[in-house]
Amino acid sequence: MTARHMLVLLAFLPALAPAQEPSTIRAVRAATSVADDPDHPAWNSAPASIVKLETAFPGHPSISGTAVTQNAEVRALATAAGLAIRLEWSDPAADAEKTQHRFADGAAVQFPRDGKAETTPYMGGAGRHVNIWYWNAAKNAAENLWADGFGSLTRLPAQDVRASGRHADGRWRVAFFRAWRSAEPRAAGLRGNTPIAFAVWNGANDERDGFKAVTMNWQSLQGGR
Amino acid sequence: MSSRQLAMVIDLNKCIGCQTCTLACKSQWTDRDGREFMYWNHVESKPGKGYPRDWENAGGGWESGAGAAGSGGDKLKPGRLPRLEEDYGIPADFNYDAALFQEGEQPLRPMQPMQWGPNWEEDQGAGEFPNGYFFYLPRLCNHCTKPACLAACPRQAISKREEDGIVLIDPSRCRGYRYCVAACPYKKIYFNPLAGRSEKCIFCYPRVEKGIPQACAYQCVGRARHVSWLDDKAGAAWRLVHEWKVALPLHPEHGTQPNVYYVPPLSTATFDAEGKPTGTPRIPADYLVSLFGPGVQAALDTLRREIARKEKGEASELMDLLIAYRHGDMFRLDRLGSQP
Repeated sequence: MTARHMLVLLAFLPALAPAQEPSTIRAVRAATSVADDPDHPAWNSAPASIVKLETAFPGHPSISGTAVTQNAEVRALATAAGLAIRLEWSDPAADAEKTQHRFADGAAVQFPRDGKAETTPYMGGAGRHVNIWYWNAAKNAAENLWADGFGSLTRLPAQDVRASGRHADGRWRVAFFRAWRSAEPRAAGLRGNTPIAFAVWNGANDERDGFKAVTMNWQSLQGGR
Repeated sequence: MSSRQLAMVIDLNKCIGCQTCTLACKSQWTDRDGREFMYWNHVESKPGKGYPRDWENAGGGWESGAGAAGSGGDKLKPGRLPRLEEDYGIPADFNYDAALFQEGEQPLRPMQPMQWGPNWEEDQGAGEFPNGYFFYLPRLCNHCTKPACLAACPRQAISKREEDGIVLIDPSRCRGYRYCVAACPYKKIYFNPLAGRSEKCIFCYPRVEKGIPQACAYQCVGRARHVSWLDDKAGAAWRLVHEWKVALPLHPEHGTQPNVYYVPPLSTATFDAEGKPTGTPRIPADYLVSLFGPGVQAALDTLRREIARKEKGEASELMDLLIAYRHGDMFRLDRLGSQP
């Protein structure tokens, strides 16, 4: 984090609402192979946690505006093969096309690489990087990324995260899946209980990059392997 | 700011709107892989909405600051993203087979309906007969000294090269957020939806690194484009910009300090009601000032004075420079040989 980014953060801190109790997302064991199917019946057996989303710290003068999405429903399933996480949120229009002037909807799941909540959930920091699973409606696929501060987001060599989304009845359902073990040394461990954070982008509102709705602090994922 | 700056001067009195530069650029850089709609270099007719449509009202650049004129402030002005169909124009296919190889008289035309395109307003111009007027304005990335695109990028994906001032987007850093597209007041950065990232004129840096001029400049049949280092006192850029002060930046009010300069267009006199020439140039002076800033009048006066000299058979260094008797004299790119 640069000095300027720190200043941006500090400028926003007083405006922060009192830290909310983090939601607990309990991963339920599922016998079937759910993978990244957002409509798999096994999701019905997982309890839904509602996470509150707010406009992220801008982090750069180019980023401005108020993000649209205010909450998301999160479920998690622990299968023999790996961890599946599903985000569901309200969005009347599916923006699944990237044109010259339009942005696509998106969603992301973020983990601290070291599994510790001391890592900042705002894109990580120096020496404490985060692993991000990013889904974009235009590609309807996942990207496995890491970051250690604003502006540092980088694609990881091992792309072993899958994601798939479906838009129906004014809602997106996006399921992420990764095997328990990853060949990527910078990937999150997914062992035991781990901090987890979420982000949603509404393309129709020109949301992209740091212009997004996020959980303002780490949530808790329980029941990882 | 870079330690040296490669600059281009385009003489608008010599541009005939043939689009050879446009095609030289397109066939070299933008005829494939999602770039088909892009024209890193194009020539538009002025006055007009240009390309992308209405780019002069699409925002971007720097808020005017307290500094010297043209130096800009330190806050970016908001800008909007051009649309494909309405502002750039679709890269339409043409009915070549029907027009060229089938029986009957079929005109060559796009096979999909088009709403806009580069130089859509070909030769339209402004003014009423017999005093209508237009001129051609070739445009490319200005490789600005204070690039708004670079400042707008939250990912440091845009850089200005230290050795020649060329502004480049690093495709491995760009994630297609398009703050740069909005920030460029010239709308010379394009988002490639296929690649998911933004792209722009690279000032033909692979050619420049070998001492070869940019394709647009080298191919110009009108000998309208000069390229040299801005600090090379023997080069056309220094001589036309700083010595003769006849080459001016486009829309300097945006504060980005562009490094493509233009020799403003002279025009013939308007006719009065009796059909007699009035002596007033038909391209209004205030319109040229709105494009090239307050230096226009002095530049045009210098050009007229030097043309008159040449007409009288006197010597004019300026005219010789602009005439460019030898094609090779228009380009001085050698890094070592042209140190000031």
